Amino acid sequence: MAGNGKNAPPPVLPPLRIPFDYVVNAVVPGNSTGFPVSLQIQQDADFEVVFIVGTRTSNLADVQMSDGATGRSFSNAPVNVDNFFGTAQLPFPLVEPYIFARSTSVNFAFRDTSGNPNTMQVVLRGYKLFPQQNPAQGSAGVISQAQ
Amino acid sequence: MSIWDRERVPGTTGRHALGLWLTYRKTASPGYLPGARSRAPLKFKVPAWYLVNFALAARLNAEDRVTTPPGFWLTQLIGSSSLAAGFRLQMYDSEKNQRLGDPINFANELGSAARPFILRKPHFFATRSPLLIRVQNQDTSGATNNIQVVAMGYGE
Repeated sequence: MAGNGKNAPPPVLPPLRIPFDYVVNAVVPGNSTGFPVSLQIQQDADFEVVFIVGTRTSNLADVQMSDGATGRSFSNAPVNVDNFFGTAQLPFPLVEPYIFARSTSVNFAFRDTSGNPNTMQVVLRGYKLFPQQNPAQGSAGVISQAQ
Repeated sequence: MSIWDRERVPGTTGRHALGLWLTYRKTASPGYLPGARSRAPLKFKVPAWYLVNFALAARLNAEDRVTTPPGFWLTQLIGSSSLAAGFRLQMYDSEKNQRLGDPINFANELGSAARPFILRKPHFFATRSPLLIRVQNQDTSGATNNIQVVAMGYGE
């Protein structure tokens, strides 16, 4: 009988969102031009970036971020750090969150113009996305172990 | 008397014009984000920062352009000035042949990453027509003003 829902496909459940922070630490040498740091997205889940926050010693520094999976840069030139990340109190929001596929790398290139070593930390704040039908995907199985 | 108890229309619960008493954090983020309908076209798009840099001596002006990919949604305006005097700014959408406002001080149009100026309704660029950005240094000391204007948005 049509409309009874027996033959309807199973509903697509929204993913389980587990708060997570990916952290990039760098001590950028003074007057460095393109100090590279790579961030590896863990294998257990895709990662949805919602906020970008960070700290730096001096604001005379730039950063350029690129997606290792596609090789695509997120900016046409290095962005001044104060124009790229906010703080925990006032984070920079991505109006539409962006999802990094699991196991991919996110590449950062830092540049300093202050002349002194610049200690920087960039944090991608967001959520790990676990499929509800398979929350232990990947090798880590963090959720199933916790239960 | 509670503002929630007032009924301008009999039988319908009243609603204060300002909504809930938002905290600063609430005012700074969800209250002023684009609505769900405005955000819908951004889904599955890739965030992108398009920026121009200027290094200007006292009172000089300059012009540069940002060429976005087709189908780019401008969502946030960010900028910085190395000198406190700042700069004045005017933008021009060459696709629609529209000025995006008169020349105004950058602090009145651009935010920072911590406090970005978020367009309540994202601005769409259908083609590769450039966004022209004209700045004038407001500093008179003679020192070089390093200016950066960032158009952050979402593209294909």
